[in-house]
Amino acid sequence: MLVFTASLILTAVVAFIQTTNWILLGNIIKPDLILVTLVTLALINHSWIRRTALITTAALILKFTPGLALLDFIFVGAALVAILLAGFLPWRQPVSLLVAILVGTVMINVDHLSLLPLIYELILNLLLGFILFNLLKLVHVSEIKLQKSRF
Amino acid sequence: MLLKVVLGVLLLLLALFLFFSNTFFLSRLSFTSSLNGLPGSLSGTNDPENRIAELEKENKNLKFQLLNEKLKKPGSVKVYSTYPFNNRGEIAIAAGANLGIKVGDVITYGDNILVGRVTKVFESYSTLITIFDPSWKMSVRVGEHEIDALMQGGNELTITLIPQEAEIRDGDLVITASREFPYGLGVGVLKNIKSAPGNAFKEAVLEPSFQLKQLKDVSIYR
Repeated sequence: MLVFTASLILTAVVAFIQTTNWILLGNIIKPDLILVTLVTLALINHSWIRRTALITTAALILKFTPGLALLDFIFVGAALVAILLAGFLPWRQPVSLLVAILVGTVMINVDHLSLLPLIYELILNLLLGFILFNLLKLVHVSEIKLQKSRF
Repeated sequence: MLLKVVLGVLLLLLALFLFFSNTFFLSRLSFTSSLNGLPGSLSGTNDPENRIAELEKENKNLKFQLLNEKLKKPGSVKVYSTYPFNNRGEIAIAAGANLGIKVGDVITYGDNILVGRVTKVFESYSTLITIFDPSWKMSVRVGEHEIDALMQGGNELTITLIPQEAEIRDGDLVITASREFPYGLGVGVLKNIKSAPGNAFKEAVLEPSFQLKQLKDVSIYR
């Protein structure tokens, strides 16, 4: 429960940061800090109920307009697919994680694809994912080692 | 496994629906407000304890009002947040239908610099597309000779379709010339002019007059 509570708080804080302009590089380049965080945290929150709660929390905080909008579905879909990929891909966990982040990032940008900003974003997201995964491994090594490919 | 995923998605959709359904939200507000009014109506308002509580509430409200007035610049509107993901120059501002904002209203930085155009209006806030959005295109005029050109949004703003024979220099001011906006609003200054031989047009980078990152207050152009 402690792991979940800590994950929930971290998700809420990161989602809030995602809506601010603190992480803007240039004028429109924003790394998907929240996607990377959700995918990484899914490695230590194995229950789908908990994962769903994390995604919902993030989606609620990220709301840019009231009511259900296309952005909400895109974000939730991208996060779900990325988490599924991170758990299912039959390779080593860091590689699966990076592939999951790559796919998730492309999905989030699906309604406004533009090559150069997408490349910047991908590089940033993959770097962030690598850093977060290694940080998580430091504090939660047993859980990560226990996770195995589901194939 | 699949069942768990499906259950998760359903729970997620249900949670989103419950949270964002306006009816649910308004009923909740109305219910809370009736609950808050209940103790007062039962105990009467002449009770000294109630009056002290009322005065304290009024005092706190006045303190916040003073702080707000101190922070607010005259005629300006606060910027709430930026679009949460990559590659969109959209922002939300703290003015909506309550302040007479309409779709298409022009938003400026100070009085003379174009920020963007309102795209959606809600009761207390609006969202707007800024000149940095990759989809942004508008006709502009460059420098004292008012040379016609086209401005395109993106992480790096560009000015294209500048006639090859046009006399332009780095540092020339760029102003709006599109009929959707008031004529002459500032957009930025020219830099890095590129002129390839054989091309009919020159291109340049536009240095904007503000950065989205530093945008805290904007004004509504009236």
